[in-house]
Amino acid sequence: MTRRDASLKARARGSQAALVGLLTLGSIAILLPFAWMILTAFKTPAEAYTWPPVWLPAKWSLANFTQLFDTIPFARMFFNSVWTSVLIASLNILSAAPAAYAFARLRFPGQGLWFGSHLLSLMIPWQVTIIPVFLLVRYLGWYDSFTALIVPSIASGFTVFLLFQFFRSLPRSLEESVLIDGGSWFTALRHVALPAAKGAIAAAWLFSFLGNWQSFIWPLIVLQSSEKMLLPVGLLSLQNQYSVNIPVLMAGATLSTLPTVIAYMFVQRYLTDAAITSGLKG
Amino acid sequence: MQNAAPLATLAARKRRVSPMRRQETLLAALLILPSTLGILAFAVLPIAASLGISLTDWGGLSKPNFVGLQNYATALQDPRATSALSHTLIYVLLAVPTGLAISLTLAVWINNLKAGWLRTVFRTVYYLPMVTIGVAVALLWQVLLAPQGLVNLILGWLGVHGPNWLGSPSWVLPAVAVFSVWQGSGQGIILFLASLASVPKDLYEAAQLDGAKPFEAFRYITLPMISPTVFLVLVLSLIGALQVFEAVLVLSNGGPGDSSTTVALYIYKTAFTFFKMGYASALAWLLAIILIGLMVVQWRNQSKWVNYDQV
Amino acid sequence: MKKTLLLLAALSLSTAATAVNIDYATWDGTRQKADEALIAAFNKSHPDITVKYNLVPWGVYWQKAAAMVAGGSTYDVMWMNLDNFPFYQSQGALSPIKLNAKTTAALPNVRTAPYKVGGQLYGVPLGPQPVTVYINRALFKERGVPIPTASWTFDQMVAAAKKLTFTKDGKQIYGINGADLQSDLEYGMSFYYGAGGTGLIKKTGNSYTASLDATFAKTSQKLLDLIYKDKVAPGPQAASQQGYQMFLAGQMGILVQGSWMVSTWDQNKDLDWAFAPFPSVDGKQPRPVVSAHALVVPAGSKNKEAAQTLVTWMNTSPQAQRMLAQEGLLPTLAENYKSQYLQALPGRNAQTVFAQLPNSVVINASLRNVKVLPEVLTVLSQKMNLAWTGNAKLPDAIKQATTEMDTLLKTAK
Repeated sequence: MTRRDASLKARARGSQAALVGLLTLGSIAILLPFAWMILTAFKTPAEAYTWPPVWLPAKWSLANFTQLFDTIPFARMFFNSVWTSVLIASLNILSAAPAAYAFARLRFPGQGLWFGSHLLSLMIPWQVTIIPVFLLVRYLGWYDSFTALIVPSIASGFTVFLLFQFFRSLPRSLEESVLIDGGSWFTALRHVALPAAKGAIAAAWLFSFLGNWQSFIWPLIVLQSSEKMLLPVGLLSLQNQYSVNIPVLMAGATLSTLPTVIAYMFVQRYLTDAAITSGLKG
Repeated sequence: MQNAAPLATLAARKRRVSPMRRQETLLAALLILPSTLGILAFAVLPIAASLGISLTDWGGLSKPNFVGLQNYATALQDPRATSALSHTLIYVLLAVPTGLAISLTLAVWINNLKAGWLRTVFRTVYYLPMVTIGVAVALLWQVLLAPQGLVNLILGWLGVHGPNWLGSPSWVLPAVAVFSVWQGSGQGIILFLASLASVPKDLYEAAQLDGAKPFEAFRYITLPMISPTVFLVLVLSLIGALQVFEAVLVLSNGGPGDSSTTVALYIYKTAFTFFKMGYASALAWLLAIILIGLMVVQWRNQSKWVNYDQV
Repeated sequence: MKKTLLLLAALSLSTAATAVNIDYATWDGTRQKADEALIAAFNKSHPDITVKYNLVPWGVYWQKAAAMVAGGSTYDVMWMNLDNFPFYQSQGALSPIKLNAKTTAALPNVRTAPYKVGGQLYGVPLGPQPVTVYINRALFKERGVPIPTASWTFDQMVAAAKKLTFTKDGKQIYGINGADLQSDLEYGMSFYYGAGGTGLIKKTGNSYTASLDATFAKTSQKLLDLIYKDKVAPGPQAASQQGYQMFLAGQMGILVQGSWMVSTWDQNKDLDWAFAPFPSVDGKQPRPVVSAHALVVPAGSKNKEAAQTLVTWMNTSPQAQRMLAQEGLLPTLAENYKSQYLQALPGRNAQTVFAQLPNSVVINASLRNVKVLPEVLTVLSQKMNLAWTGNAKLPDAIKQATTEMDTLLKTAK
C-alpha cells in the first residue's frame, strides 16, 4: 500500500466520521420531540403541565394508557385504520401505476387532458370540494359504509404524478429492446418498467398509507357508526372544546405510530439501492 | 362534391393509423381507465361543482342564487384575502427552498455513508417525523417553540436570543415553516434516496479518475441524474405549501391576529364558520389559478434543467 | 323444530315492536359518562325508542353538521350553540319543537328566548354553563391570602393575584390566567358586562355599528394590565401552557373559566380547588357570561317525534335533571336541583355558582339575526388578539377593530 493510498483512505474515513457526526446531530433534532411524546404518555396530568417542563416522569405510570382504552374503543379503531389504510394504499398503486406508465410512455389521443385532470385534482383545496364529494357519496347510498371511505380514495393524482415522474426517468433503451424483440408494451411494463420502479412504488405506497392513516376529516364526515370509526378520529375526540388531556392523547399518539413504523420496516427493503439497481440491470 | 377532397384526405389519414398505434391507444385506454374514472367521479366532478358554486351565494344549506362573477370581484378587493395570500406566499418562499435543500442534503449525506447499517438507521430516523399524527405533534411543537422552549434553549447555546416564535406576527410564519420542514422533509429524503441509488456507480468512478472534486461530481453527475426527482419534490412541495392548512390551524390557528392566516385557512373559515360556501369556492379557484400558473411555468422550464432518460 | 320457529316468530315480533332508533350527537366529551347514563335511563323508560350516543369532536363538529344537513341525512338530536343556531334555523334546517303547556311554563324564558324565532321554539336549552372563578385554596393558604367572599372586588382580585405570583421550587406560580381574558371573548366579557357594558354591536334604526365604547376600552386595559403591568398572569412571553393546564398543575392561584371544567379537575386528585364569587368591577353587580347551548331536532330527521321525546325528557324530566345535577352538571332547571348539585361537589363552595346565575348574561343574544355576525366577531377577536399578545397597542387595536367591523356590518345590508 503506497503512502498516497493510505492518506486517501484516512481522508475518506475522516469524511465518513464527519457525515455520521452531522447526521447524528440532525437525528437528535428529529428524535427529541418523539422522546417528549413518549415520556409525556407516562406522566400524570399535573406533571405534564408543569412549567418549565420536566423531562422525566417522577413515577412511570400506565394510567394514561388505561384511561385511553376506557375512553375510546382503541383496539377496534386501530384495526379499522390498519386494514383500510393498507387496502387504500394498495388500490392506489394498482390504479396509479398502470396509468402513470401510460402517461409517461405511450402516445394516445386525449393524453394531455386525462393527465391534466389528474394534476387538477391536486390543485383545488379540499375545503371546497368536500361537500360536493359528500353529496355524491350520499347519492350513491354509501353513507356510513367503508365503501364511502375507500372508493373515492382509490384514484390518486398524487400517486399518479409521483410514479409518472419515475417512469419518465427510466432509461427507454430497456423497454425498446423488448419492443424490438417483438414484445408488446404490456410486456415491457410488466417485465421491465414495474420491476425497475419497485423503489418508487414502495415509496408511493408508503406515502399513501401514511396519508390515510392520518386522515380524519373525510372519515369523520362519511362514517357515523362508532364501530366503524378510525383511530385519528378517536384521538381527536380526546380534545374537547376548551381542554385536552395531553398525557392520554400522547399515549394514544405513541401507540398509533407503531403501525407506521412497521409499515416502513415492511417496505424499506424495496426502498434500498439493491432492489432498484438490480431492476435496472434486470 | 366540394367536400370530396378533404374527406378523401381524412380517410387517407385515418387509414394511415398503424395497427401498432391502435394497439397502443387501446392499451393506454385500458391502463388509465380505473384511475381516470376515479379522478373524474371523485375529483373532476366535485371540482366542476365548486366552480359552479363559486358563481352563487350558496351558504351550504339553502337554495343557491346565481350571482355571476360577483364573488370573484369581492375577493379581489377583500383585504383579508390579499393578506392571506401574502402570508401564503411568504410561507412558500420560506418553506419550499429550505425543505428542498435540507432533504436533498440529508439524502446525499445518507447515501454517501459506506456502512449499509448506518444508512438504514439514519433513513429510518429521518422518516419518523412523517408518521406522527398531526394534533399530537402540533402540541409538542407548541412546547418546543415556546419562548423558553427547547428551540430557543438550543439557539441560546449558539449565542442567539430566540424570538417568541408563535406569539409574534413576524416569527410565526418562520415557525410554521420550521415545523413543516421537520415534518415534511422525510418524504423528500425517501424520494431522493431512491433516486440517488439508481445513479450508476461507475459514473463516479470515471469522474474520480478524471480528478473531479466531490462537489463537482455532485454538480455535474448527481444533480442532472436525479433532476426528475428534484422536479417532482419541488412540484409536490409547492402544491403542499400553497395549500398549507393543518400546520397553521393546529400550531397558531392563524394568529397572532391574522398574521398566519393562509389562504387555505381563510377558505376553511369562510366556508365553515362564516357559511359562505360560494365565496369560499371563488377563493379556492383564485388560489388554484395561481397554482396552475406556477405549474405551467415549472413544466415549461423543465426542459432547461430536468433530464429524462439519460442512460 | 316447532320451538325454534316459535322463537323466531317471537323474535321477529319483538324486533317489529322495538321500532325507532335515533341518533344523539354532541361535541362535549367532558360529559360523556353523564350522557351515556342518561341515554341508558331513557332507553329503559322508553322501550319503543333506542337512542345511540355519538361524540363528534369539537374540532370537526360543524363541518360534519354542515355536510350532513346539506346531504339531507342527519342525526335526530343534535347539540347546537348560539353562534351557529341562526344559520341553521334561517336555512330551514331545524324542525320546530312543540312542548306541552306545563313544560313550556317550567322553562325559564331567559333561556328559551335565544332559541325562539317568530314565537316558535327551535331548540330546548341545555343547562346554563356559566363562566366561573376557580381558586387554588392551598396556594391561597400558603400565601396568606383570604378566601374571597361575595363582596370580592376586582382590585382585591388583583391584589390577591400579586401575592399568588411567586417562585416555588424553581417553578413559577402565577396569580391568574390573563391570557384567556381577552375582553371580547366569553371569559373577559364577563368583566365587561360586570363593568356596565351593554354589548359590542349597537343597533340604531335598521343598521348595526360597532360599539367598542369607553367601558370596553377601560375593561380591556384592566385585563391586559394583568399580563403586562401587574405581571400576575403569564403572557405569550412566559409559557406555552394554557391557563387551565397551569391551574391543574397547581401553578395558578385564580382561574376564570367555565363551570364545565369541573370534571377536568378530577385529573389531579391533589388539587385543592373551589369556586369563588365573580369579583365586582367599580362596585357594580357582577354579570358573568353563560353559554346557552340547546338540543335541536334537524328538519331532516326521520324520527322527529321520538327525537322530540328525547329532547324534552333530557332537558326537563325530573329524572334526567336529577341525574345531571348528581354528576356535578347544571341541568336546564338548575335552580330546582341545587341540593343535588351541591351534594355532588361537596366542599367546593358550589353555591356561588347559583348565587350568580340570576345576573348572568348571554353574549350577543339580541344580534343573532345579523348575518355576518360570526365574521364580524372573528375580525374583532383577531385585532384584540394582537393587543393580547403584545403586538399592538390597545387603542390602535380597538380603533382598527371598529373600522373593520363597521365595514363588514355595512356590506351586510
